[in-house]
Amino acid sequence: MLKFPMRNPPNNNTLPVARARKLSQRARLFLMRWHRRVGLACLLVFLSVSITGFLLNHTSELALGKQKVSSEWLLTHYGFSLPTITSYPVHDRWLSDLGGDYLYLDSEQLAYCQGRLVGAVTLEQFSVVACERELLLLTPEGELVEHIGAVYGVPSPIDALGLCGEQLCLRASGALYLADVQQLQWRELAEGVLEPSEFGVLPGALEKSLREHALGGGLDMERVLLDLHSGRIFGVYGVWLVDLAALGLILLALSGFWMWYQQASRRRG
Amino acid sequence: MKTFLFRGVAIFAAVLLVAAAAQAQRGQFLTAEEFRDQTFAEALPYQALWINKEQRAQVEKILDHSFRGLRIRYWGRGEQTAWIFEEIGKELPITVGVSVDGSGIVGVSILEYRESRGGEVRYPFFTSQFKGLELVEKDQRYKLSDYIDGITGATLSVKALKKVATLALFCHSLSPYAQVPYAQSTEQ
Repeated sequence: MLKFPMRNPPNNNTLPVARARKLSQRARLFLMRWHRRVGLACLLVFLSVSITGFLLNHTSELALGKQKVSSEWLLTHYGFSLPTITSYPVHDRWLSDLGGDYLYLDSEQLAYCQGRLVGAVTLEQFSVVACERELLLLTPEGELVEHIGAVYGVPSPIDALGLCGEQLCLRASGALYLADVQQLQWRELAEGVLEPSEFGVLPGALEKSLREHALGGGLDMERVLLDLHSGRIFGVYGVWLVDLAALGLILLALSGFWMWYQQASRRRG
Repeated sequence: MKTFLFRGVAIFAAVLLVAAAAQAQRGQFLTAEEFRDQTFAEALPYQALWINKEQRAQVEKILDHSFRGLRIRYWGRGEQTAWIFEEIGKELPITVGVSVDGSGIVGVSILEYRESRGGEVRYPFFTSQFKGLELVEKDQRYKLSDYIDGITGATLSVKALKKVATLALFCHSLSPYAQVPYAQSTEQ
């Protein structure tokens, strides 16, 4: 057992006291060295845990639960599949497929459509929208007029929709068809050139809003901070790292206390 | 060992039988053109019934779910009309053709059945029950004029067919081929 040095040791005990002092000093140096090493090793984890802890303590004031994460890296890391948005301009508005079952007109859900969106053509009275297995007719105001599916003989799967000259045309399984959406007739063309409808690039704000919608409000900041705090964001190794840092913090506290106590005892004599 | 093998073969055979039975329920039995030709015996052009807000609300009441669309396709001649609707039974849509004339439903045909169970609704012993049924209004809801006996194991498909038959009668009543513009009200 280590003995703390006395201020005025009796002369007959000089040797053991010096020895004890030396031992105590060595122990203190050892502790200080390891106190420093552990502190430095855990520095980043301590900073991360402290900052996230501080933020999490004020979750409601900072509305962390309502702040959505838009970082693609983080969303992919959490297993969210990022939507591939396909959009076509329709009567000065944007028709988009977010990779799900529904089409969107600007940011509003429009209608169920079977298959991927492959084209949209604006005609005088209607817009004709083609998904792989059905056509939709829309009014210029964006109201759905009707679904025209396989039951009406629409050739499918549709690859492209566009114009052959001035007439509505679609390509399905490599064959070209003149499409009469009023009489629901599909006449195969032996030859012809399809000018497919061209997709467009969505305005930034609309794309952002659709992307967020497609992710279903997915990931909020509170979740990320909680996982960063616990280390779970880096998987099982992250949790172990935070566990080790916690052990390090216990060691730092004990060694810090011991060093302080030793110094205080020495001062008191 | 023999018993184990025998059991294995028996289970495999049972699985095959069940799968075959499920497959037998599904299928396309008529195309739209075949249904039209069966009803009118000639290639009539498609007509379109445009529906307004109020009528759409009625359609939604009949179907018990929202209905998106402004027009419904059909064929018509004389007093007779023929309609094709798709309605979900349990999980997948059933394509149903209904022909209607002044005296009610003339016939119901299943054009395509996609579910694995409940395909019995396509057989005449069931579809013949719809013959002659009319549209009645009760408690501000349109209904069929008589009961339809259900089929065990096909409850949802039966329900879907009843909705479609009611909808066809309602749409017929809105079409120019109907003698009476709206259904007779039978307060009971």
